Amino acid sequence: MATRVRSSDEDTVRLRLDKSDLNTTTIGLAIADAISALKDVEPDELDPLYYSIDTEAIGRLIQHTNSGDGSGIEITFTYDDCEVIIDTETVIDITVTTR
Amino acid sequence: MSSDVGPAESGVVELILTAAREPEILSGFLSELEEEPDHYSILIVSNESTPDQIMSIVGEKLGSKPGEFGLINVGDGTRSTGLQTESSVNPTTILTIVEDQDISRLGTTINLYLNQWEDNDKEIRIYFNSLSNLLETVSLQQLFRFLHLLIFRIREIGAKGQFYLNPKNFERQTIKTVEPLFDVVAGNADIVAVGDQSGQVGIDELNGDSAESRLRRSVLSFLLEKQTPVELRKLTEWVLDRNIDAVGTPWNGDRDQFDEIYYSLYHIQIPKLVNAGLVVTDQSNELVEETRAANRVASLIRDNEDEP
Repeated sequence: MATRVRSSDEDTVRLRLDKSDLNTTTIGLAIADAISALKDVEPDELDPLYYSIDTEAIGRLIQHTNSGDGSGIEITFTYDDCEVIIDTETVIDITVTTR
Repeated sequence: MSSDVGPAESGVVELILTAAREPEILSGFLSELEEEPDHYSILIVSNESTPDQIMSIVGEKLGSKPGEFGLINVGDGTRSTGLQTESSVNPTTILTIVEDQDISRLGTTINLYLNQWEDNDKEIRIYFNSLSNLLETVSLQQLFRFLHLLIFRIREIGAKGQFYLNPKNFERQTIKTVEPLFDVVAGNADIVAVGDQSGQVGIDELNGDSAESRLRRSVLSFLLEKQTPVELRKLTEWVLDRNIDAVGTPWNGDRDQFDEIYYSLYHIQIPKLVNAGLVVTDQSNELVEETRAANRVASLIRDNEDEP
């Protein structure tokens, strides 16, 4: 459902999620997956995401803004030394970079 | 009554969920002004009533002229107002009409008033009763951005804003999306609807029809039944075995399916219940146990689970 790509310099992981796969849970799991891939740990070795950001609220925001005029939104936040950028213009692109 | 009190030190922006009509809420807003009208700069943004109706309520409630006054009528531009449309705000402009699709012009117009009033010694009060129709005419994304900027500005100049929304017309999730922008949210229709339970524990996390809410209710009812700490992996297996709605298909031991529920519990659902004061976890987040507060909402969970 999601494709994950690590950059050659190893400090960025990009994960792409089809809009058809989006729901309020998948977006959170995808973010956790991308961060754990960048840090090379299991997702349950990270601190729970919800304590940093409400991913269900992000999912709802993307769902609501999806159906509109086709323009996407960009959401940026930081989590444990990582910068997370979610861009929803055509597909949902999650980019996690070491700060 | 003293009128030499300066503007509030920091702004407060409130979202009020109410099904009441404009005459009632505008009267309520004006009644809250404790000082003489001359102490305030008042901005009214509304789409519900005609300018005449608003001016009549304002006249009746205040009795005398406010320090400054502005009225922005948000509408479809076809309603007859009997008043001249102004293209910009100058010191004598009282009314500006903005079409409801033109949210950037609405923002500019509000700012023109605020810029003009910012440096005078009056206390700025903003009444905004146009969220419901804006939600119908612009995208939620546009409205979110608009509110984000406007609320920042209101806080920055130390003004007080009250925004009204009729929750009946919108999905709970739409309201949830804009709620975090405000300092205070009053009149939560959902909480009243489930019997006005005490808000001391986060019953909000247990309401709703979404798969996630159902998952949280199931998890909590399982923990209430067990009354001992449960390992997150065991909890995940139990969820999968029970084939509750969040899973969709029966579990056949598939690893991906296990991970999906396990990480959803680990990263999102359990922390939500922790924040709501309903469960506690150990330091590694691997052991989960219900709290005493959870027992207080047990009946609520059962009521919700009994629904078809």
